[in-house]
Amino acid sequence: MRQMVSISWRCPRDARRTPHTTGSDAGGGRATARSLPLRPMTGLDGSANPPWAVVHRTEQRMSRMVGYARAACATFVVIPLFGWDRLRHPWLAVLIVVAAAGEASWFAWQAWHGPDRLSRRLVLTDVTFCVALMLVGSRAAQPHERNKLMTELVPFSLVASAGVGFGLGLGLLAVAAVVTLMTAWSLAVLPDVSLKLGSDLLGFALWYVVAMLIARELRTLSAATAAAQDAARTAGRLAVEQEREAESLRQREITHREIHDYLLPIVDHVAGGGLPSSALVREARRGAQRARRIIMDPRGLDPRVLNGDGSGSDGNGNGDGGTPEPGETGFEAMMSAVVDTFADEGLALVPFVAIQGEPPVPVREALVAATREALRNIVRHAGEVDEVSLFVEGGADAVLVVVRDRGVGFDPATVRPGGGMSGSYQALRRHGGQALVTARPGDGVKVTLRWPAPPTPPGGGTPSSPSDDGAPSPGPGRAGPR
Amino acid sequence: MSAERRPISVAIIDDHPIATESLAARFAGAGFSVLAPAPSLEAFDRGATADVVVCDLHLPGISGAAAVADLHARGLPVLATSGVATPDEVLDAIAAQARGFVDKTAPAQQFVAAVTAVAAGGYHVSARLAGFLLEDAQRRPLSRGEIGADERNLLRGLAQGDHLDELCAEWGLAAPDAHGLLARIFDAARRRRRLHRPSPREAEVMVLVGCRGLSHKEAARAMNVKTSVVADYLRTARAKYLASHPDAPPTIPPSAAAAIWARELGFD
Repeated sequence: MRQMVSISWRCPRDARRTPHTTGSDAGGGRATARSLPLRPMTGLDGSANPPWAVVHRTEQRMSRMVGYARAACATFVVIPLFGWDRLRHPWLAVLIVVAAAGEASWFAWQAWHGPDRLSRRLVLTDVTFCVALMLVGSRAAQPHERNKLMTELVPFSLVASAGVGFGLGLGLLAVAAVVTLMTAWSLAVLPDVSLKLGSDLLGFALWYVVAMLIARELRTLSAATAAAQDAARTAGRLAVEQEREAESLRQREITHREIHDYLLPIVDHVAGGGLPSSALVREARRGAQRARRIIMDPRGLDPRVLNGDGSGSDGNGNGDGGTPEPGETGFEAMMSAVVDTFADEGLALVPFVAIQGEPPVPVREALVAATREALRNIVRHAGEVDEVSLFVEGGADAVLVVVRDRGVGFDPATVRPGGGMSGSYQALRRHGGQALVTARPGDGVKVTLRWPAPPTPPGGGTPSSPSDDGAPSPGPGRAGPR
Repeated sequence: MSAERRPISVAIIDDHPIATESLAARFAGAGFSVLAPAPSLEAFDRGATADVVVCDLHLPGISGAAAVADLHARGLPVLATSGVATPDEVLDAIAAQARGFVDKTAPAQQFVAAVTAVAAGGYHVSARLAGFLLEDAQRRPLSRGEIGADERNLLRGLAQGDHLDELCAEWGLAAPDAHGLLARIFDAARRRRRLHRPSPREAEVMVLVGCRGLSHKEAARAMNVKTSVVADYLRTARAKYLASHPDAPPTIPPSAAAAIWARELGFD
């Protein structure tokens, strides 16, 4: 991964720039970090792996840290001016302040806007400036007071040492730069040599070492972070891929089972020259319905629904008494199970189920049972029906169910009131609902279930008996457009 | 009236010979003049003039909506049909100016009635299409120009399995008024589709980010746009997804919404 990144991220800008230190690397993630481009100007950014941006931003932040230190430590060189009377060349001290301020500003600006880690050019320029500053600046004091009055040049120059640690890391060039700084200060303070010089020189060495160690820690951290992000990303992609594969496998299994169990026997029968029979037609209708459901309805791929085989609607919603989980044993799920059951039997059902809210459990069960009965009657009595519509609409306060077929129908005059309209329609009435059956010979049957029952119009017929040929009175869900 | 003098001419585009044969026989039996059936859009005579084209929504190599749009552009009134089209596919066909939809398994008289209605410049709403339109209006309501109670009631009646002429007779509704209601229903359905379906660019982003797992940057590069534009497309797609999926968690991240919706719409 890293190898790939370092290749794909290498950019023309790197080639143009002065190469970084080629000495041994201080940080584990450094090789990677150096080859990352820093600005979205390479045209290669699009293929970049975002997690590695953290490596690159860490480098940028470290550069800025050195920039802050450089800017802050520039203030030290003002202090010698307070010993104005004791200075040998006070105006030289002023010049030092101006030069240090200028250099610090330039350095901080470069570090802030730099695209990556401190460039070698910037670090070496800073070292050179500090060497010059120490050699020239120390002349502002009397020879025996150089490491007292002009000692403030040391904190300023220590930052150069830190810059070497961050920017160049461990290497011959870096060590040479630090030694140069130490030598320059040793020469600068001559002849004012005391124990303090020892601590100054130790300071140069320690700032370099500590800066290098801090940089290494931060680089290791950022590389680890990037690797972790990368791994998480890869794992995420893998998980998605696996989930997709599992889903596809599941769908294939279901499709396979459906084809094997419901379609192949029919096709084989026809292909083998089998005679068409009513049983075959029934089987073919059932197979067609199931195949259609697999193609059209994602829910049709749910094994729970497919394996329900009608028992689902009876088992659902019974017995718990409390408010069921909508979606599992709710009204809509129960109605969907009814739809699936009859579709699986080969009934060409055109369902519309729009339910918002849950009617009370007994009402729900009565409505579902009545709907099942209406559909069962169609299967039993309507003959070969081409299309049956099931319309369910309502919610917690009111429900309208209309089951309509265009089968053989019947003549209401020949059926005694209540005949065939047994159990479940009566149960719906007991729960405050209404069941209305409209029929005409040759024009199918329309069963309208309403809950609650609309107010009975004066002189109206018995709700559960087959009504006259006239249309049912417009109910809550069905009113004329005018 | 004119239909009695000159039979209605019907063209059938369907890649399944068995379906074509039985449809052609149904139409011939109803006295229509049936043009030579075409198994694909390319095979359909470009110069053919038919009063109605009955077009299957699952033709090889082209989406149902694209096929309908192509035929509509030739000035041909289209009656869409399918045995397996999903609600989205049917509504897309309506958005592409199909004038009606009939289930392929529907009885012969429904096909005849539908073709007659479309040939006369009207619409045909089967019980299934009425259900799709009702559900669409409920799930993706328009802020302006949504269908009113009259249109909804008409759709309810049709979804309950009643025929348009039966409803007109029951409610004392004149045919031109019923036509006006249907025209408004179709118009609203088309606008709803334009508003609540991902645009082609949004769909592209949904596939790249949601299905292929590309980062915004990578998707931006693939589409030759800015990264912020990709994020904008994803946000719009998410807003549309939430508008049409009220049950979806409102905090769903745009990329997750894109992945789910793209899969739902069959983009991947």
